[in-house]
Amino acid sequence: MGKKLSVDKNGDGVIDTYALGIPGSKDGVTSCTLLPWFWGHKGAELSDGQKVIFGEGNNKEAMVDMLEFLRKLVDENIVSPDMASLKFTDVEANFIGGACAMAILGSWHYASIKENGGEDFIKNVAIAPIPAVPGNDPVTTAGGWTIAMFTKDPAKQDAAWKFMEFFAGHDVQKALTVKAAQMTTLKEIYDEPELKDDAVMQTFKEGLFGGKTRDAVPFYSAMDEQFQNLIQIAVTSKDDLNQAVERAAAEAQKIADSMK
Amino acid sequence: MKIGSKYTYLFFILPAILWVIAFTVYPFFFSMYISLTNMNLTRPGIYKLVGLDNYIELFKDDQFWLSFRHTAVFTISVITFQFLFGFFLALLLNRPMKGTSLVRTAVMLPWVLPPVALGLNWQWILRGGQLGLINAVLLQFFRIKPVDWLGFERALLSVISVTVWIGVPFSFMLELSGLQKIPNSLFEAADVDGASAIQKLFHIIIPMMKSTFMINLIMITISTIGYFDIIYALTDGGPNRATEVLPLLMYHRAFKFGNLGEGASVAMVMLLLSLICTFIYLLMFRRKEAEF
Repeated sequence: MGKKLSVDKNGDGVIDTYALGIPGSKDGVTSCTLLPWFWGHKGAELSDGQKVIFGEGNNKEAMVDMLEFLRKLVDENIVSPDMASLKFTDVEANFIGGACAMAILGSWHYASIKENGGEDFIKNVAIAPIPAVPGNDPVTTAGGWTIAMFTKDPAKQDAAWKFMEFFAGHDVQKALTVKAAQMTTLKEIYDEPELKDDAVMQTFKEGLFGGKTRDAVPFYSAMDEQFQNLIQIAVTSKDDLNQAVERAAAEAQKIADSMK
Repeated sequence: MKIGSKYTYLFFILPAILWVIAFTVYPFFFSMYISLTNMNLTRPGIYKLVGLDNYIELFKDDQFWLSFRHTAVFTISVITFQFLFGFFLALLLNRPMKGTSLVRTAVMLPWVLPPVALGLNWQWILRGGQLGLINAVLLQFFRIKPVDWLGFERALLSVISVTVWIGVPFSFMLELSGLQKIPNSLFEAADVDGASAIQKLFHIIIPMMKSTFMINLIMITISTIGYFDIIYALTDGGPNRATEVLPLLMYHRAFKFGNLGEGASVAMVMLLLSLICTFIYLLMFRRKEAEF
């Protein structure tokens, strides 16, 4: 299917449209986009929120499988060979510009594709949950950003908390979902009149049940950097992925230990 | 202290001295101190001295040596091309011609624009696939297949090219001012003797511009070893660490991994590299001056 969607339209030997666009640049969005494949393989990156385990046993197998699959997508011209330098905004531009037939992006891209591509373009766009590994449940990244409060002033703490309650509350979440396609985790919002007949929003709701947040540990961004590097290694080199995953896990553990 | 006393000058240079102490001397010694500690962003205020451990860890680290190699290739290439292109442009635009001022202004443009904005523009120009500007032009007019300019194999070359493009105006300006300081009488005497353009270049221009060359080389070297913004905006060291030079390694270690101690030790290595290069230039030019 993927191979059929990659097309050289004018027969000049250059693929004009790749089947799938995936961001692969050094960016948190890259790992957010691809970690669901790892989690969908029942892979876990941390145990007890402290020990890095993505380089061990089944977790390593899940990570290597995901990376090998990515490598195969690029090798077989299903994904463009410049994936490692594509940011998520590039993938969106490629999708609108016809350089990829499908794209794995965040829910909010639906709103920007609508805005940048126009009404006629969006009429031909459909969305689907990220396919699951056969036998496993689909997983999607649902946030996982950590918000910290450093002030010791109770008045400011109270004000900050009130703001968070307001921000995470029904009205703001509904506005973000309706206007910006920011997939809210308040599931009752999807059943409201504006959204209940909207196929796109109902697909987001479907994805919500496989939502997974990333671990809230101080070294997560450093570990995330290791994932981004692994993805880039998979699509730009022929390096042994087993060894690369072991090295990345050891490096992440070293960083975690340095923060203790 | 009375105005006019022999210590009056101290009063006038005191602000400059305080400025240098606050923004150069203190940060330098503090960075050196941090490099000897296990200071981490995730443990504010809790750290201890670890001696040379950060340096030992760094020198045992393959990623450091990879970044070191990238920095060497990046620095040598940028110095060479920026210096030569700047000199060539200075020679070209030194003579009075119609539109010289306009061309000189145009040449200066890359240097005055904000580097991060330039980095983002170049990212669009160098994008892989058919939507990148260069690729679109190559495909449209020359039927050349899209090239992944920011891909693993070409990313460092692309980053070098953009950095040279941005840095050339600086070298051009410095070398043009050096050229304009050469007395005309030397060229007139050479004309009387029937010297060719090449002879003038090697026997008048180059020897007379040695101090300008030295300043230019020292400044390019120091700025290139510490170059960060364009590479950060273009590739952030990727893909697959292909463009991770020492300043990016320092940034990643200090601010992404939170390890300020290790980040500071990378900064100290960069400082040492700059000092070694400066020392070599000084030695080289002093010897040449003695020969001249």
